Amino acid sequence: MGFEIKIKEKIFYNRHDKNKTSVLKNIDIKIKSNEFVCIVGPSGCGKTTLMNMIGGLIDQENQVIQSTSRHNEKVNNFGYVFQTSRLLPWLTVKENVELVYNVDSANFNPDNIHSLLESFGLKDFLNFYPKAISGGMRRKVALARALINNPKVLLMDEPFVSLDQPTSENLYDVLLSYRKKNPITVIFITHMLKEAILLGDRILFFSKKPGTVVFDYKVKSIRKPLTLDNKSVDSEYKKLKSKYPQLLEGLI
Amino acid sequence: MGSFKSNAILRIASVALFFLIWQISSLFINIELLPSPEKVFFKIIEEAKTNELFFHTFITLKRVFMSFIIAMFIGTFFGIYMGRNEKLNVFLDDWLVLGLNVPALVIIILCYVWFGLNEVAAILAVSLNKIPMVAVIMREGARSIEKDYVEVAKFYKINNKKFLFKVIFPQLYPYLLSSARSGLSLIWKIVLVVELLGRSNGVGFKLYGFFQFFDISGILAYTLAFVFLIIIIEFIVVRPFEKKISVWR
Repeated sequence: MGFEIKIKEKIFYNRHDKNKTSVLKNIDIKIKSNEFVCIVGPSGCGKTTLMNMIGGLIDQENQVIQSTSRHNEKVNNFGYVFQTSRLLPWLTVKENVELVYNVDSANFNPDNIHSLLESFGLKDFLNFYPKAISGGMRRKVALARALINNPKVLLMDEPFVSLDQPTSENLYDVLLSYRKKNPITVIFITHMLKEAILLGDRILFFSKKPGTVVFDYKVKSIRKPLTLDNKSVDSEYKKLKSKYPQLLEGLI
Repeated sequence: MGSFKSNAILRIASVALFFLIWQISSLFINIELLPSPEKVFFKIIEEAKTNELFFHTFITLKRVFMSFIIAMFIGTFFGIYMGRNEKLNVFLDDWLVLGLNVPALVIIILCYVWFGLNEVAAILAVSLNKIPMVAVIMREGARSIEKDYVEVAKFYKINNKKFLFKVIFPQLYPYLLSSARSGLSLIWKIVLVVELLGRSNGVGFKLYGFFQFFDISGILAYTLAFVFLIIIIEFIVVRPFEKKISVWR
């Protein structure tokens, strides 16, 4: 599902000192169907706010225009992998996925939970509580939870942050393998430029607060092998860094 | 298993020590003031034989449970709403402070004066004493609900039933358990006062009778029997529930 995001300005009001902060400004992004778009930018530039606005967790105030509004639909077209896994600790792996599974969906089949978790290598951990599995596994469960309703758009907010490299690379593989079989639009926030080059079709670089797109970049690298030390990714990363040394700070 | 066994031994040793201190003390204090455990035990048997013990204990237990259910239900309802709704919290906060600070005895007397010496007044008096305490604990529980999990539920538009039972209540169980535990121990003490002041049956009424005749054995016999019952409830209801809800920890 492709869509368009237009935000004139997103302002947050501080209830205590009555100050207002402009978080996002002049956003105009068109995302094509099944595109993998990465968003890179300095801390506090409004990336998560943008994601939460797209996901409907923050009031859009008529500022985000989408081709299909998720608020008007009964069926959830969006999946969200949050910055932390946000698995409910009192529910097992299976129950966490089951919790969000839409029973009203035409494709509802309880066996889908098993098969999805199995395809993510979690078959033997269905009845484990989140506390009893590793950090990498928890991210996999969070990903499975986001995908169980076959969403058309997947929102991912630094989903693999603070994981070691092999675990991250395993998760890239899980995500891209799923995407191969089930084409899906992905919006992926990361602070790692290499990760963005490796996974994305396109990278949107954001400025400092108030965040706006300063550079829209189309990725050229080949994704094989799917590792962060991939030579093609590495050379593209170096080229970008030498041409725009302050790109990650939101300056071009 | 080893730890379970050593804990059980410790508990038994602790109870045994309590009875030993009691037994020794009774040898040095006037027998009328502090009868020995043996004498109290025979008094329990004597009261049980005439069914008096079962009758009055059952009546008190019934009052305890009715007041407990009412107080837990109303206190939980208001506590959760006050924790989630700041305006309602501001509006009701002074009522809560008032409820917490009015002496139990005042509420009991007022209920008897206003509604008469009847069962409704008795249950109402006990419940009113406990509701503010439950509400305060549950308000804290509601305030501690993780926003992150609520956002997950909101994002995936999960239905109200799932939201309550899978997202909200599990976060409130520790608070619910804490208020239930403190509630049970407080309520039965208030029930005895209510019975002593205005009922013609129940453990409180019997204690008043024993007090009139200076029968310490009778007082201790009923007290022990009731405490024993509350301990049984703790072990067969509260603890298994606690274990069940905290298995994920």
